[in-house]
Amino acid sequence: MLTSSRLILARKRRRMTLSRLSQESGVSVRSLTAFENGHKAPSPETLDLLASALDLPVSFFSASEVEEIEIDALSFRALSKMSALDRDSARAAGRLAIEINQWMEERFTLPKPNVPTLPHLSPEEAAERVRALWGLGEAPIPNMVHLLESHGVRVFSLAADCASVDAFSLRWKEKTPFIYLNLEKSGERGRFDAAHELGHLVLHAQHRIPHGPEAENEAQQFASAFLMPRSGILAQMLHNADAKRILSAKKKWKVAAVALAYRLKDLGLVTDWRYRTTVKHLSQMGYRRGEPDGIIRESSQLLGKVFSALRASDFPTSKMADDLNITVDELNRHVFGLVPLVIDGEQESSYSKVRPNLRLVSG
Amino acid sequence: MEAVCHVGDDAVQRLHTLGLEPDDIYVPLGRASAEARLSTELDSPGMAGYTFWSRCNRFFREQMQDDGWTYSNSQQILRCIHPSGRFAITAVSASGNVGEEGASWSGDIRTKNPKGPAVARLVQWNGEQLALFHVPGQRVETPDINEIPTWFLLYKSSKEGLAFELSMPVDMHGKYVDTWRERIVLDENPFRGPEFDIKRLDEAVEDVTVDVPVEFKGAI
Repeated sequence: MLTSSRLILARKRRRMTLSRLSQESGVSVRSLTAFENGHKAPSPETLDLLASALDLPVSFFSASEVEEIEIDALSFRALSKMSALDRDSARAAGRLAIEINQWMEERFTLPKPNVPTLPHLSPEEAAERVRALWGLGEAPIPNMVHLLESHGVRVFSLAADCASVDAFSLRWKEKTPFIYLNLEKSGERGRFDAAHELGHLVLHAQHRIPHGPEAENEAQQFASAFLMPRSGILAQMLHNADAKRILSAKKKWKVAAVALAYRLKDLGLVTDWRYRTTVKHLSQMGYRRGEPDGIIRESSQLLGKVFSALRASDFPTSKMADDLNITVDELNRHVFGLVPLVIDGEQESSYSKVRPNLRLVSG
Repeated sequence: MEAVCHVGDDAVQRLHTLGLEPDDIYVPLGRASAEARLSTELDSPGMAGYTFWSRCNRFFREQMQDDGWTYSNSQQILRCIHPSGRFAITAVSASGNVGEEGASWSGDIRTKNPKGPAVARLVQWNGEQLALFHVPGQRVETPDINEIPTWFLLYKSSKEGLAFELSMPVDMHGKYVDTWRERIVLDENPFRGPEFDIKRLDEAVEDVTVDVPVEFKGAI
């Protein structure tokens, strides 16, 4: 028996239109429409064709109904520049990660959500408030992913085939916060993205929907203030800092050089002229497109502990994928870069700044 | 009376006889630590330590207020007073082997800062008390605040983190309180790690791990 919402989810996840799925599967558009509307059920042979075209197990299509993530619930950057296929693929990937989280929550006690909603505050004030609530003082944040996870945020990897989409976030059922990170970026930018998405979760809740350039600017300001608190920056004596000084100072905060330069301008510690010349200088040194000699990308402690516990219990990853009615490949895409990669059941590889062609193999 | 150090379940039980739960100790210390982290290099050098001391006492008082505890700042000693009025607790910074079961009853642990005559009288009074008072029951006249036993919630920050214990001081050497009749040392210390070092709050601390608690329910 086909669950129509799952067929729609799978098609969107694979970034396919009805006609493309028709081409890939050999099933007519008319039939596909009828399946998705729930007006007609496919034969077992047809279901096999669909499952094959969508690279998912047949069991995926008969599992329980799945509720889509509402577009309004998401904070996409540059939504207007994004194709509907890209957006829907990321939304579907996000939905599958929610299923993965549910599977984990049924078997593990995980941190409870503790992310305040402060839509009435300015980004700077909200960042200060969250720092105070979480007891962070004015010090640098050693690891954004771990910090978020310790406060109940579920962090997943933005599947590689959604790389055109930036990071995004949501509160599922207005409760559990999720952040999806694009792990193709430098460690510094990944931290900034995580703080940016935290800004959406904190600022754009309740009556404020997280869309538009204004919301994006607010999230940027929040991230900047959260990672580089005003008092901490002032104490570092960065008045009129040049590129050399910024490259030294940024190490304390684990941020991109350009992000620190912008923060100094925002706080009035450098003049517009100094800011422009510094960014130009940094750009010439390669700090615009990347972060030379940057930090290693942050990983997930939560996922690491879950997979370690599963390994210790001789519970194969393939069984987890079976429970979720997805393939191991699909499972890998959602945790990639956040947990050490299992090579042969015993060894773990270290993290790499480059996405290697390795995957989590059932142990 | 022989000096005693309570550890493990015994420590928790002893806290109970004083009307305290372990969280009544953990919560003020954790909150004071968070407040102290708001200090930067542009504050006075002793600001983080002063903030910790003041806020630790305040948060302890706030924590105990619902249970009927009161307070006194008499003679500039920040005390939180048990509802029976028969003993008080004050948070004090310390040095030496704070939180270590094996510490000697005299000389190994002392107040970090020199103390004046008011504390000296308090400690002397503690030393002259009869065998340990019994908290519940026993209706007696409410004694003067400066004549009741005062426990010290001792805390010490170092690069290993924050160590603490609740101890009954009974003697001084010079200007430092350094002799204890009873010590309560909780096994669990959630403040381990350099991020809890008040002296180093402004530095970029490397290799600090925020723990993400994940507990396997045991059945797959």
